[in-house]
Amino acid sequence: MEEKIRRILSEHILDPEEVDELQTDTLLISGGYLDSISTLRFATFLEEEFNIVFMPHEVTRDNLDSLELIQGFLVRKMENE
Amino acid sequence: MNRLSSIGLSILSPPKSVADKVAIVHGDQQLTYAQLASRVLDLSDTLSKSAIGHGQRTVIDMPKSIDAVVSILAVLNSNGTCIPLDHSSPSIRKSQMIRDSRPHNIIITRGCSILLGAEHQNTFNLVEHNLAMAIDILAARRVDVEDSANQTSAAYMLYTSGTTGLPKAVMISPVALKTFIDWCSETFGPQQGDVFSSHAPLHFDLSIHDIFVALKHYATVHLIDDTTSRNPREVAGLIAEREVSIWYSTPTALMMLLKFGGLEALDFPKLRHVLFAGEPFPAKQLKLLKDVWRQASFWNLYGPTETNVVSYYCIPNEIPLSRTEPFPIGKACEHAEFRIDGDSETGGELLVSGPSVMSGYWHRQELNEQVFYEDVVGRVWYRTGDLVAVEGSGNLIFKGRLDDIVKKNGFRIEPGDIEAALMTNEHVEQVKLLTYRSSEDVISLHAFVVTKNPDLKKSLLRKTCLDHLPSYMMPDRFVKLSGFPQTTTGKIDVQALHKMICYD
Repeated sequence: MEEKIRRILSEHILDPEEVDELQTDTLLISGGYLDSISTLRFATFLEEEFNIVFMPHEVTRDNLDSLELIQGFLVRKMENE
Repeated sequence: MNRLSSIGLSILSPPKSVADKVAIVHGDQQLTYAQLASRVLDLSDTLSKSAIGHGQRTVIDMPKSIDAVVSILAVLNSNGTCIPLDHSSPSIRKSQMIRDSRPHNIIITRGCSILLGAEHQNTFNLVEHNLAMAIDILAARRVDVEDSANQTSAAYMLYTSGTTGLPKAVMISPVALKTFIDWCSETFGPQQGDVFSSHAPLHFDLSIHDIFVALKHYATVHLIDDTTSRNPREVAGLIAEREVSIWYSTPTALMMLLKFGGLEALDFPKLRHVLFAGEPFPAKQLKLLKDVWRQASFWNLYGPTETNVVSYYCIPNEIPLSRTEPFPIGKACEHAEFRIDGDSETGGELLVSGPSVMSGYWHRQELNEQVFYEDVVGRVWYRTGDLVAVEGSGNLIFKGRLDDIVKKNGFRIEPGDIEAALMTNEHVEQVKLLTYRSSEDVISLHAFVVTKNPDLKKSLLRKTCLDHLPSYMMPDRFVKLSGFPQTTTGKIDVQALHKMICYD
């Protein structure tokens, strides 16, 4: 799952070299990697890749601020659907 | 007459008919006009106890909230100058602005003085808690008060990006504020029944419209805070549910709503004016948005922070599919006079004169001498640095900038500001910041960094920017080089750098 997320980031959103540098706990939104627009684009790619739908209140730092938070969110989301 | 009433607001003694009407809403909090009056009066009292008075400068460093708006109103009511800071900026940057503005007072969220940094904790003492609001008022120690005893006649000081990495403050007089508020009143005819959104942060001039025009007419204003504004579906829901009738934002915010807001599933029967400013709105997206919000009129407003809005253009009802060029910035507002320095057909610099123009940059004598020009009859003109041309119909078209200021997502950015921040990294020897506009009109910032350390991680460069710059100035890409390509005359070969972007 982490590999898929990294691939979305390096193919569509960020500099691949910076994606390679990311630790699983690197802060993506608070750390200045994703701004509000790229966060939304990223969420759209996640929806497609993992076949989920974000609720309006779910596109937040709490769910998307690091690779590990994203994985946790996706796992919970897919279990519930 | 104090600065609040001089700009045309009588919110401290609202007519009986509106006393129980909702003035301002944020999330699940709201104040009626009667409650707002009592809050502003109460805080004005507290401020006068701590000697905030005529011409005193007060920094407001709070998240966007009802308390922040009450603070701005109370400072004006006490004849002070309010300096709203970008609360989300890194503390190094806020520190620069606090040092530069030399405020007499700082208003913060209660207990947050630690966020000011040690330097300011030693200079500012807590003088008051305000019981009705969760805020602290800090006052400068005596030595600093004497040092900064000079009064300012400005109602507002708004910080904007500076070329050398130090933000500069635009001084906005009460007359300039009133001129803009009155123009909005005449042009858009706001009524008591109107519902305004307040999308822009309070340290941007766009917020002046939302707050002051709404309150002048006893309408209702809905604050959209930083967290909510990042979420287009929530914003769209708010516009629909709260029946917003007057919206003002950057085109970027509107394009986010169009793309991610799920607008087609909602109804917006009350929306009547959609105002936008800050950057060109690509015609294709504007057409799509107009097709969704058919009953609203769309207005392209133009003017840098230094002049506020000085020209406007009402977007026609039908936009041909084939149109690709952005719409004109229109004709001068009644309060503004224009002059074009250069060829008005191909493009020359726009000079603006009139009561909405700033009084100057705070403590920047040299810069003021460059940007203001006095003509033979003594009329003062502000050089916008914007290139404009005149269409056959008399409307002005925006053609670009004379300098290298960039507009990204409606935010104004001086490349030198980002370059200066990156130069604070010890591994960085030289920096050049370039911008790239994609075929879809998306602007990206590319920082070319010369370093002797080939192992320098890009994450460290990003961290340096994060520590020094507001988030909207963060470069999209970093490119590490061992040296800049040079032209035959020994300058940085910008063309060669641009090619690296395109083939990146």
